[in-house]
Amino acid sequence: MRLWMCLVLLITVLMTPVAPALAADKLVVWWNKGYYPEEDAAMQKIVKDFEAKHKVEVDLSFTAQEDLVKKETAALIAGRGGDVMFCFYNDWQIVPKFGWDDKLADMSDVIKTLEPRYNKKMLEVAYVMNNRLKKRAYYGVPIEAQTMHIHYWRDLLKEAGLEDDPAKIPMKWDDYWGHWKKAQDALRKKDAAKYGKLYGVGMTESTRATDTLYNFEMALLSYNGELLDKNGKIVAGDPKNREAIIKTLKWFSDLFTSGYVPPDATNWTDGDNNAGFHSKSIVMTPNPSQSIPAAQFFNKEDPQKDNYFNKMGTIEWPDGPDGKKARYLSAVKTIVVPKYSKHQPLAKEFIKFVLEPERFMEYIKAANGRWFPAFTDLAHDPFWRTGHKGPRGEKDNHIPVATTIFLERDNKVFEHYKHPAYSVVYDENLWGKAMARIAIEKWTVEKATDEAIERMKAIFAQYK
Amino acid sequence: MKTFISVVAVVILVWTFFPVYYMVLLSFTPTNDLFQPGLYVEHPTLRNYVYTMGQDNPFVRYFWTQLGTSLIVSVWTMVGVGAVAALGSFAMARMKFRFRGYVSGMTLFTYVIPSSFLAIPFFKMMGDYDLIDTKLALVLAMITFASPYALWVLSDYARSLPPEIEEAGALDGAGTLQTFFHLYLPLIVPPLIAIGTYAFLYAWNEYLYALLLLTGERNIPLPVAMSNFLTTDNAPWNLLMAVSTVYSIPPVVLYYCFKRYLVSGLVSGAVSGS
Repeated sequence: MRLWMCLVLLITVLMTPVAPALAADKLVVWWNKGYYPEEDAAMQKIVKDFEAKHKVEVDLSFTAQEDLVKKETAALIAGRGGDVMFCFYNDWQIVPKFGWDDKLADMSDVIKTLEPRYNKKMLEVAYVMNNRLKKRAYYGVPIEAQTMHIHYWRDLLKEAGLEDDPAKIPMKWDDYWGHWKKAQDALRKKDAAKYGKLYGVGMTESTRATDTLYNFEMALLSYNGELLDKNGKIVAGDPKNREAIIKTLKWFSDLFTSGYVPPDATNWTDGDNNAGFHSKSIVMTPNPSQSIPAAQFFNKEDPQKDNYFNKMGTIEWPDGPDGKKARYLSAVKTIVVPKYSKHQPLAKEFIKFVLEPERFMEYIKAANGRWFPAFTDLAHDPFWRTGHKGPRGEKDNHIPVATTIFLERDNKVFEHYKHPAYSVVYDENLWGKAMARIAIEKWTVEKATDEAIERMKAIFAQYK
Repeated sequence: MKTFISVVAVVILVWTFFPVYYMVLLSFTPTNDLFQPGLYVEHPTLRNYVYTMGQDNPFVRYFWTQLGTSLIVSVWTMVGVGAVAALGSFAMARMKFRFRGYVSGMTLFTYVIPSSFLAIPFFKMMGDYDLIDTKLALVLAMITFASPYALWVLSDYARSLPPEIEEAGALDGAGTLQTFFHLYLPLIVPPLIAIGTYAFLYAWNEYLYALLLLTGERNIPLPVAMSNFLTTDNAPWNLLMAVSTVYSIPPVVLYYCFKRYLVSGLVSGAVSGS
């Protein structure tokens, strides 16, 4: 008898530290952890205000994007988890695939309410196909976007005796890329000990980084290539497009083998070009967000923000080889509500609450200009045109450039909304693999191109 | 030959310890020197440890809570696995019941399916029991995946014990439970400590299930929290390495506390047939 009592006691003790369970009546919000503490603080404030106004409890948690996308995937398959989910990868990993599988709530009513405020170009990212209902609808709510910019060290260009003013840097395709190559040559010649390992162009060309896809598709646009038509059908194999892909991949290959790109760029992750830039081992790098200047803005070692306001520059992608102005791609970040959620009306109310102009402006500004709002009323705020003001009255060289790209350039969203298979193409980093085939395995450009196109067709064939 | 073996041993030693050395090295490196890699730190600083211990940085705001979660989950996993393995091995090695051989054989079969494949079914199951976001869910998951190996080791050890022990107990009037607690349990202490340590480390290093089953910075164990360090484009590697260094201390302490049981315990099953 005593033994049985001991066993019962042991089981009771075992249960003690682990007893509390998930409260079913809360609105569970899974939110992407911000890049800066201010972003998280702004969201926490919004949640508190929402709780006070609606007299409900909100369970808000922040998770890093790589982890959050796994949690979301598990939750959507298992049919339980968060009621509102915002992850930086939703636009390409969640919305097209789970919209297709009928696992996401139809957000068309929310979009209809917000439609007058939207930048229409950004809206289509969430307008995806539901394969069960055989029709398209809005399966997410776009909120903010990022696009491609080139960052460079003005002080390195000056030291190399080259033009550092963004308005005067040549924008013709060959001259533009040649500018950074000249900087490498000049700096290495000037001080071999200091600049022996400096490279002119920090171009990510790896299978591990999503930056590679961004770089590839930007260059493909410059070469006038297309991968999908407006209905989401593959046109990559059409002679004109195949030719453009070949030219694009050859350009990346030539750039890599020219000696002006760091040799480990074929192995970089998304953060490695940032790290290389901050350590000044590259003169310039294309980057699909304002993360690099934003990091310098918050650099505690540089309290006068000299790097941000004086030593760094941000410039546009060059004109294409045919002389036409660059066309841009935007990645538009999107909130989703799972279909399994029992709190869909409240979840939608919450999203509308977050996106009220003043409130959302406060949130998005906390990201220091890293994201651009998907709403025209917010985009017209003077902040996006002027950016920050330096301690000595300096002008911002970064945020206004992004604003110009978003509002004045030919800019379209990534095309994964057209077909869920296209997000698998991104998952597999097909174009990064093609670059690796050429640069590392020494395949011919044509062979690598054809392999990628065939793989793309095979992926699309799986979605019937 | 001796020289060759010594050289190989030194190479293996350096190969093994270099990542640990580098982790500690980076933890003492100031931010400005992070991207000037070297084999020693020119301007060592304790700042990262001060931030960590004082929770004086947004990344380590819940350091002690998260460390506590890791500790709670690991200790209860250790207790749970120990209980399952002790009771299970006693049943399989010392008692007679139908299909005993099959049950014994099936224990290791569970490892045929990688645990990551079972993550989503497990998530759903824990959801059905309303256990998501509780430490119990993670403890149960860890017990599930660590128990088969523990059971296998202990069962083999238990078979090597002479049957006279139970016979002597029976003569004194001991029942099954008394035999288990008074005769069997004291004899399996060394392998039990070994598999307990194994279970502790299994749970201590778990990532995927912790990520899926627990949410929120106050709830997650430290390995999951550490992934948040990589959210920013400028990951604070030195702070991350300081946290990693602190996180590696409890397993080392545990190892040294129970070192004398570990080797004998873990190989005990392997020689049972000899």
